[in-house]
Formats: sequence, structure tokens, C-alpha cells
Amino acid sequence: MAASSALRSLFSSLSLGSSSSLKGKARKFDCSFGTPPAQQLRWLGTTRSQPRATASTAEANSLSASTSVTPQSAYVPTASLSSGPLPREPVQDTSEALRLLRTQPNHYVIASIAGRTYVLAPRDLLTVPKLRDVKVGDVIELDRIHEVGSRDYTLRAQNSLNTRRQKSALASSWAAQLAPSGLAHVGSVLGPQAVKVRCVVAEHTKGNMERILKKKRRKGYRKTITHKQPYTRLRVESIELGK
Amino acid sequence: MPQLPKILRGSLTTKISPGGTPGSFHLPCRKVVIEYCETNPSSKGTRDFLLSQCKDLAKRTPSTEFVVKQRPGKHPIVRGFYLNNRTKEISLQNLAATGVLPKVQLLLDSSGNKITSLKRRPVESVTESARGIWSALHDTGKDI
Repeated sequence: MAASSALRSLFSSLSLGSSSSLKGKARKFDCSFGTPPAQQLRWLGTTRSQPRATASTAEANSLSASTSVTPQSAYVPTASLSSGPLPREPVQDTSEALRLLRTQPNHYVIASIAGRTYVLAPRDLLTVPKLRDVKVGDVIELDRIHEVGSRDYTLRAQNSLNTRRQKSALASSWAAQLAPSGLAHVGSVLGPQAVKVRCVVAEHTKGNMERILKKKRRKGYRKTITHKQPYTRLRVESIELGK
Repeated sequence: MPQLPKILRGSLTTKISPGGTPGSFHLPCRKVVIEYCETNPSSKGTRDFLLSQCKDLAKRTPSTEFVVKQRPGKHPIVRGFYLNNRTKEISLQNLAATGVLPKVQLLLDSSGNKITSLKRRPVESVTESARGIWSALHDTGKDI
């Protein structure tokens, strides 16, 4: 096995999407889903026991590295199925957040590649439209990682300059409470100091042959277009948490 | 003499786990065989490729074995052998030398798997979810 074939080059950044246009799953949040600091409760807790009277949903209770949040609800989960005790307040420090994440064995990341957002775990095989500037066997480090989480903890990227004010009319409505906690600001990424995700380019391949029939009736126009979409398949190798 | 548990020999084999350990990637194409005819005009581009570009390509991919074979009276083909014991064949008939290289590169880039639709499922995962699966018995209610 030649080392050259396995690790030909390391790209430190592969920005294939602009920061302002995240398509696909990461849609731009509406104003009604914004989160001013005093509004939403962000607990560091298990996903199993949810505080009752808050706007946080069954999604991750997240840590905020950039804004401070005062706890509102009287309910505080005291017992948890996780390995450590739950902090009473959201964790402020990123390194403390990473320390907590590191105590747990399995992690996932939410990352964007080529404009689309995916939930990735180690050993996943990801299919994206063909990346022209990489070869098979290259190791890629993802640079648009929005969230890293484990069973009980989540670290989500947030741009503190981009906080949106929730419209007061919808602030206490049931729709606002059911809405996602809106803590991830579109386009915000965790830096490489927080988390590093390495992928290896497994192959460049093509999909099935598609036959597209075009026809205009009564005009004698008929044609068949054959098309094979090229793809690149990436194998997620490792999720490394920073200090 | 204690009675030891029986071990069936078939259980001692190992399966390649998808993904494997980080850093264990190997180019799936282990051998490329280029078959051509010495006189046939449809093999002209292939002959030119073999004389000009093939050596550099073989040097660039040291983990793949390159074999050149004669196939007199037939059109030229290139055959790729992969680690999953599959082969891919591509016809090179009437291609110019510049057209042969992309076809060989296509074989080198492939994993050998059967071509299926890759449109709908971007992530193929064997890892269980890190956050687990929601259970009604372990959750509090929600006020709507």
C-alpha cells in the first residue's frame, strides 16, 4: 500500500459555498424564530428530560459560547442518564464545553459541503456532486461545521452580532415555543480550534443513466437526452475535538 | 481436562468493516489492463496513448498494476480490477490518445461498486445515532 495513494494532500479549507447562501436544509430563519438572550431557555441537559415550560424543543439543549442566558424555568433536571452531573447554567467557555463533549464516546457534526448541510458521524459515506479539485485518496478537512454534539451535550456555532429580535406578538405563542431554539445562525461555523472533521475522498463516480424525453406535440419535435450525474463520495474519518 | 467451547472455523474469518480505521484508505483499483491491436485503425489512439502518456500515469499511481496486452483483430478495451472482486470494461475504439486518458482515469477513480442511483440518499451510515432514539417512557410532557 503506497503512502502516496492514501494521503496525497491535505486541504486545510474547502469552502465551496458562500457564507451567506446556505441552501438545502439550513434555510434562513424567519424573524419569528429569532432568539434574544432573555427569551429562550438553553439548558445543558439530557435530551431525555426536557424542561416543561420553556421554548426549547426535543432538539439539542445547546451551550452558548458567546452569549449569556439567564435561566427562566423553575424546573431543573437533577438526574440524568449521562455520565456527569448537569451544570446549572449554560456553559460559557468553549474549552469547558469541549471538555464535557470529550467525556462522551460518540459524536456527530452538522456540516455544510458544497452548499448543502448534512448530519455526519464517523465512518459515514457521503455523496456530494463531483468535487473537481480533489483526487481519490485525498484527505479533506471540513471548514463549515455548524454544530458538534454527543448524547447529552451540544456545541452550536453562533454569531453574536447576528442576534435577531423576536416579534413580540409571536413571542409567547405556542408556535414560537415549538419552533427550533433558533440558536444556530445561518452561516455561522465553529472554527478549527473547536472541532476538526477529516474526510477521505473514496471515489469519483457517476449515477445511473437517466433518459430525459423531450417532446413538443404536433411539431415533430422529439428527442432523448441521456445523462449520468457525476458524484464524489467522501468517507468521514474522524471528528476531533479541540482544546 | 476442561471442556473447551467449540469454535467453528468459519467464525474466525474477519469482515472488512465499512469505513475502517482512519488512515486506512487504499485505492480500490488494483489492476488496469489495456488491450489493443497492433494494426487495427480503431486502436490508433490507444497505441499513441501507450507510447506517450501511459508510463507517466502508471508512475503517478504506484499502487495500481498496469498491464498492456495485445488483442489482435479486436477493438481496444481497458479493463479495471477492483478490491471487491468486480471488473469494469470500457471500450476505447476509435478514441484519440487524448480521449483514452479520461477513460482510464474513470476506472482509477471508481470503487468498482455497481452503478446505482446516488440521487436520494446522501449519507450512508453504519454508525448508530450519537443522541440515541427518543423514547416516550423517558421524556416529560410538553405543554402546547
